[in-house]
Amino acid sequence: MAHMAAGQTTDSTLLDSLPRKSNFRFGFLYEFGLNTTATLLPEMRSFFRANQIKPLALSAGTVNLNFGVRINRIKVMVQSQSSFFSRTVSTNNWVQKNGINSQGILVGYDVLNSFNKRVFIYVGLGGAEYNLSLYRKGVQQIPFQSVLQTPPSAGSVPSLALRNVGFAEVALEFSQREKRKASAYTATRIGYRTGMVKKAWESDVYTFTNPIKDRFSQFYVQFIFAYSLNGNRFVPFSRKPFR
Amino acid sequence: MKAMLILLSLMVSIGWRAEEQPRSEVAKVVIYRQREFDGGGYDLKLNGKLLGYLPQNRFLKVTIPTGRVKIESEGAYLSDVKMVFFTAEQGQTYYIKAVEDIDFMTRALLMARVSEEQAKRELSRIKPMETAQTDQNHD
Repeated sequence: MAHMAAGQTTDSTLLDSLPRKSNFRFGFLYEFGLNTTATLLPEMRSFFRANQIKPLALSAGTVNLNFGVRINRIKVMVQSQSSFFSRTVSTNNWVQKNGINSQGILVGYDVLNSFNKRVFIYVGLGGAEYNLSLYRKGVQQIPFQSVLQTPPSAGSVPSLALRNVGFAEVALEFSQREKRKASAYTATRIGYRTGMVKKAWESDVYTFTNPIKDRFSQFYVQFIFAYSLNGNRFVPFSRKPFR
Repeated sequence: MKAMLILLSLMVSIGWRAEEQPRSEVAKVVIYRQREFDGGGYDLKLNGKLLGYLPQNRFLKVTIPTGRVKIESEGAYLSDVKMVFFTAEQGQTYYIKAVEDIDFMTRALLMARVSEEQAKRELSRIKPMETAQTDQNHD
């Protein structure tokens, strides 16, 4: 689609100038991210394999909501990640469902700062909870009204969880530069988070006497749609209309 | 009558050949882009005809007819067309600086005329882009 600015049909002169790099000192940022993740839980996967159960695929989709501030070239983001849905995998009559929730804080610095793009390097800390349930498919016929009284089939573990997993995180972000006081932009963030200590698997149903321990770690690629409010003073935004 | 017809056909023939001759009145234009992070390439058109492809950190130097000139830039995907107009005079060289502008779900190659002094300073580290009529030297 052709765009012709007012007056552009007249001859271009040497007074014409290209826009300068935007230089808003502050910004409030709101981000919505869709993630492809690969979550590594090596001990639980070994346990499954030892019991002839094919473990869950590593990859899963999750969604992120992030908000934060940018002060010159530094960004501080609070992030919250949740599973899209409880993933289900059925192999060899075993069904596995999982879900993950995490919250954290990221601090980033833009190592590349160009007319159109910013590249941030982040470090962060956070906490995560990973839930897993496991059961065997069956064909036993029971009246629905007695389902609560029927014991589950052997091997069913309705609740397995890694809780209070503290993790450290590093990430690299390729982001569009904000161009206006109110800017929408896209970004891509690639990150890795790893549990700081091994955590024991827990259950809401049982109290394990000798639980296996896992070190949670996760790779992710996050595609971000974002909105930012930018200015040169920290709280000037309500006083002037946005352009 | 016969002589008049021969004379007329001769005049038409001469006139036709004169139109086929390349125009002697020409100017030059140098269009350049400096190095940009992750910048995409754009097609450039001169008065509606494809002039060449211009990626970042490259310049095009081409001969243009005198008179009113329209240069357009057009990208491949989710991009806007941008234009610059000027009147080219015989023997002159015009310098146009182009910069890619990326915004939410759109991009465009902005262009503006710059002074010869600025252009020569900025062109010193930029490589030429090959086209059918590219001149490798910018000065």
